[in-house]
Amino acid sequence: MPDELWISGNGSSAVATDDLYWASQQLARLATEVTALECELALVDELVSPGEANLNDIVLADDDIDQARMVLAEIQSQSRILGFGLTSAADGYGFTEAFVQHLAGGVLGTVAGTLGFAVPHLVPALAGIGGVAALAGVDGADVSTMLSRAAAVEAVRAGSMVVDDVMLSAAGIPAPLVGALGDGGLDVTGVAFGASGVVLAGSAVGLLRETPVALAATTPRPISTAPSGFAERFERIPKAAQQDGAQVVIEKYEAPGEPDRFEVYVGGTVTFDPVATDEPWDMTSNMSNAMGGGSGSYRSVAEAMRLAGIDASSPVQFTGYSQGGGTVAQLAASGDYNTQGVLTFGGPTGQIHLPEGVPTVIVEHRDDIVPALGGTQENRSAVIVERDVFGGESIPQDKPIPAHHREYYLETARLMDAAHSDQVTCAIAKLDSFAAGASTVTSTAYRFERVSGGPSSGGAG
Amino acid sequence: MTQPQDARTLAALEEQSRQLAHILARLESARVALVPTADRDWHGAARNAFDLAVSGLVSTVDAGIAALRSALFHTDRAIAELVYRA
Repeated sequence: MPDELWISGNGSSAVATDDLYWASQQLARLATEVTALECELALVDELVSPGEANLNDIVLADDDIDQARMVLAEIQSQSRILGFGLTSAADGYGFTEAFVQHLAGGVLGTVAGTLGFAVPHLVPALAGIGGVAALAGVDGADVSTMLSRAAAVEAVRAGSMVVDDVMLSAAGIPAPLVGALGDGGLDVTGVAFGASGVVLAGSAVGLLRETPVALAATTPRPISTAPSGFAERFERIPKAAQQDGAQVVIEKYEAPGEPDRFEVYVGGTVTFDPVATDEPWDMTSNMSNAMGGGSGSYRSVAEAMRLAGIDASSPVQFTGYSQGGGTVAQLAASGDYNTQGVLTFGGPTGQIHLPEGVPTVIVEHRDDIVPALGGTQENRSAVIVERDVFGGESIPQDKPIPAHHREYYLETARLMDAAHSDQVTCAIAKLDSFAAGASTVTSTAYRFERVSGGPSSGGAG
Repeated sequence: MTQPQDARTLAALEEQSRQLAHILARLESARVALVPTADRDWHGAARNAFDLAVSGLVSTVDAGIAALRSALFHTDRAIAELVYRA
């Protein structure tokens, strides 16, 4: 169902809808309340003896109280059994999903590690298939529809996890060694290794080459209060194409006698051009983010943070969408900042090891391939919220990768604000509490550009 | 005039009535706020099993409410009878 939110993570292996978690939590509260009522009724039962005053109504009242006590015990029992059934279903679903993913990952890794030698021979074959598809009239809308199917997204996710295996195998590394180095073994290769291979290959032909970046403009934003809720946070993420080209917004929360706190919002990819021109939020940064920190977008945000007065001790919370989600995840994972919270929408964050113990919410659409490009989601201590945007409904033909669009993530954020389960309500309460007590709120937007004339090296460029 | 024994019973019944009314109100609130409602998004066999279980739970809660109402009714009648005797 398009309005259904699937929730997992939060240190548990369970996967369930917000609705199911809420039902389970209601039942637990009912059992607790009824237990308390039963204790109180036991005391009431001691107040009057059935034989007192020789009144039949006292005897009947005593019988009713005994009956009510038995029924309350039955309510406790039923609500606990039903609640247990719901949590067991969530655990069972989570276990099955994890098991199937593990199994599929292992099989795919083995196949990829064995058949990688065939890659050079597959290229002309794939080109041929593409040519035939074009001649047969398969257009962009068809491809977009296909890529929006949950099964295709899972295939992309699995594919992201085995690119490294294919590359190693293609380089002649024996399959057992490929398996030992991969995410099923020593985990020294993985998505970052695969991305490095793609970047290396791309740079050989002038693509995906990183450059220095520089601040182009700053603009104050008319914001005077801290955000409240998921949707308001999402709406504060800059839309570079519509708002002066700014890719980063930093809000500063000041309170007397307390250190300044900062919320950093980072927008999504502006151009998908694989050749780095002047826009840092491009395909080159996407690939660099997949390799680790150091992309043009990463260095831009780090510089904006420095300019805003953020140092290693400043409490900071990150919110990002798409490439911005991947970028803020890399910044939080760097350990260079005093990260107090992370919220990502549609970001390729799966294989970025986010700090545990920090309130973190990862929002992904099950029919969006962009988060799937980040590989299997390993941040199980984060609250992971998923939604099948077009589940059972027609997929719009007028947009590429429709489930990745901002409007649908905004819809999801609104559904999250309306959610009942403790997993979601506690998570937003923690994120909202970050700015509690702020007496002054200021907001600044930053626009960065790539600077041509040489490869990048640390800092802002 | 009320006998001393009846006065003690009357006071105990009045306390019982107050406590029963309080417990009844809390159980009625719990029925509204804490019993999962049927407007869920899931479908299929699991949904049917859940609906059946919730329906059973609602019946049990209603039985508890009925027993408490009856206990309150008889308690208040016993109070009235004792007051009438006096």
